[in-house]
Amino acid sequence: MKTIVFIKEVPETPDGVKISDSGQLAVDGDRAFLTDPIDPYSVETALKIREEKGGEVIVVSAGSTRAEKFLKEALAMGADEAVLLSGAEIEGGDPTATARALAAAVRKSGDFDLLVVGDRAADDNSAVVGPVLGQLLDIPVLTYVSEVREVDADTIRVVRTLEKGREVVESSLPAVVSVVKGIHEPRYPSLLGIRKASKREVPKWTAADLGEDPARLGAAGSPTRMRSLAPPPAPSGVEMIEGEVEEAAKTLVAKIIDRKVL
Amino acid sequence: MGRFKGIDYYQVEELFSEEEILVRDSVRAFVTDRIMPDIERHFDECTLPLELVPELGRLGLFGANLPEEYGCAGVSNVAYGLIMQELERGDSGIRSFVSVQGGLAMTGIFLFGSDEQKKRWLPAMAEGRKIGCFGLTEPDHGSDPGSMVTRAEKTSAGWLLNGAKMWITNGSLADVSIVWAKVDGRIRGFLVEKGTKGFTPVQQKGKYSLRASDTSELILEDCEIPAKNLLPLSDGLVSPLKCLTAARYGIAWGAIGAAMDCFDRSLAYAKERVQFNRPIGSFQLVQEKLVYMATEITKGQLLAHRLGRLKDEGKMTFTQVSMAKRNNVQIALECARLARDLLGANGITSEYHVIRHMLNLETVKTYEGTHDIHTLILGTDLTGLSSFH
Ligand SMILES: Cc1cc2nc3c(=O)[nH]c(=O)nc-3n(C[C@H](O)[C@H](O)[C@H](O)COP(=O)(O)OP(=O)(O)OC[C@H]3O[C@@H](n4cnc5c(N)ncnc54)[C@H](O)[C@@H]3O)c2cc1C
Repeated sequence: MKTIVFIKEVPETPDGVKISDSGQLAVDGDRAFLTDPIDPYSVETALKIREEKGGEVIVVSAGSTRAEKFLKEALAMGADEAVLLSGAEIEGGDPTATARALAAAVRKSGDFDLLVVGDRAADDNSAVVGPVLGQLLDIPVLTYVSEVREVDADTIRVVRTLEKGREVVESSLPAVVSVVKGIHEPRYPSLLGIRKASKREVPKWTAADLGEDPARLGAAGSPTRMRSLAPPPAPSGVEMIEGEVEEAAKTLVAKIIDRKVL
Repeated sequence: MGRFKGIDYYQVEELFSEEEILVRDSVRAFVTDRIMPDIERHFDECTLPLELVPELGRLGLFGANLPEEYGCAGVSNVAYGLIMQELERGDSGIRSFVSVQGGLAMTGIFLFGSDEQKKRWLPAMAEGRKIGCFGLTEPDHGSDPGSMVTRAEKTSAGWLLNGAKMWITNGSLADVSIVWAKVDGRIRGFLVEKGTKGFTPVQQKGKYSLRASDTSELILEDCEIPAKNLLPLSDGLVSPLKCLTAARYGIAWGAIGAAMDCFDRSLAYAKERVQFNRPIGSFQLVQEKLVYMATEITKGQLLAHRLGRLKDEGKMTFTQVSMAKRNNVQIALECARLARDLLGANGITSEYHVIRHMLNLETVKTYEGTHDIHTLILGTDLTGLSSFH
């Protein structure tokens, strides 16, 4: 069983990120980046499958070289290989352009059984990369997976957690699975794992290595563009009710009735 | 409060290797997720979170700087220090558990044990399957352990131990206690296994400090152990003192973790708490407290880092360890007291954590050589004139 897991760095909110007056993202130094909080769940899912079925786990990230640290964290958790897709042509892609780079990396790495992504990224919340990957590689996509029930050589059975209930779905392999937090409690990288991982070189693949047309990758190849960014509106409508407790309680009840809260 | 990011005013981070940073971040996440949520309850109920022991073992935190050959992680001494820092950011009691297990008990077996003893105990202790303690202090002999009265006599089958140890961290939990006792006036180390006849650990009650930690008295009454339980290479007071040097090294780092937590909470509070229509952080007297904390923490970090590199290079002296333990614990305690003050009434509550650090650090100031004993050690070293006799 060969599983490829996709992870990515995200800016830490709220401390590390500021939005400039011109509506651009201003990130405060390298330390303001984290691996996406969903990533350890994706990696853990793949490691659990490997524990049961054998095989290998490869972790891939597209983006800046900062992500190398997060790939090493995945190696320290127990992944077998890691690859960083980087270079000016790949960076800054929207989810579609990023999925193209990831799909190219999948093709380059040969046969595979399963691709694992997080259900959505903590920064753009787009939930697009998994489905686009499936489309580009022409394989089934199972989103919002909260449990992997069974995996064998050519099928997978999972539980999808949806707003209105749970769905048990069986699919042929290879397939893309997008996982939700809580699928498994992720393990912490052990010290021995860290020692081994930090000695490893993470191979870096550029657009040329991927054999992809740079015009379809990165910022240049992105069909969507972020025009502006604004913080969520400050909470409003908070009203402090002053006065003695009895009076204040009466006022509060009147307001609740008035606004038809109950 | 946001994710704990530590305080790094002097880009000390750049002095650490990638491996050291990964180790720190892994332990930092573990402390945030697994220790912090429940630590106040454990402190309140005077219990050690025993359920964490196997997890700490799986991470590789016990005896982490000892060699891989014995199932340990073999990380650098700086990485080991960062582990202690992060654990004590959580609680001094948890850090003490790990320090005693690794720095004292495993180190004692590693330095003075036979091959057989090392093979039997170290891998199991590294995994957290077996717990160790270190019995040096006695009811009447604390700062002056050389005057201990616990004694061991040779018998036909082994050794007969008599005496009592007090204030022993992990004493009631330990599968193996390293007990220091005199054989014809000379101090040697012995392994006493749980359940040995004549050996009774009694948990000490009524502590207002280090509550999330087991502290016990060990009573040895005609306690007979097999001959093979002597630590063959232990010889004289210098043997337990070598273990203490290893553990004090970790304390020098650990204390900074507690101080960092106090600073982090103080800074957040100073920015949020409004009095006289202004955040209290805008008042110069409050800023002075924050500046003191940040400065002392930064100095402590640099002291610990340098000490770690000296240890990695095999050049560290025990007097240098005394300087770092003495200084860093003192400033951590000062930071905790200032944080307690800065947080006003909230500062005395469990919810804000700083008073727990403050109470804990009173123990840390006393154990492993009191602050004043380290002053004497350094005074003796600097002048060449003994301050003890
Ligand atoms: C929670 C906790 C856990 C502990 N865990 C362990 C453990 O696991 N193993 C273990 O062996 N011990 C342990 N200890 C014991 C600790 O190491 C001793 O408490 C410490 O060495 C001090 O000894 P004492 O308490 O007897 O104080 P004393 O030695 O009686 O000292 C009392 C005071 O006198 C001062 N003093 C003593 N001699 C001099 C001098 N010559 N000049 C000036 N001042 C002096 C001291 O600085 C101190 O202020 C622990 C203690 C605590 C509180």
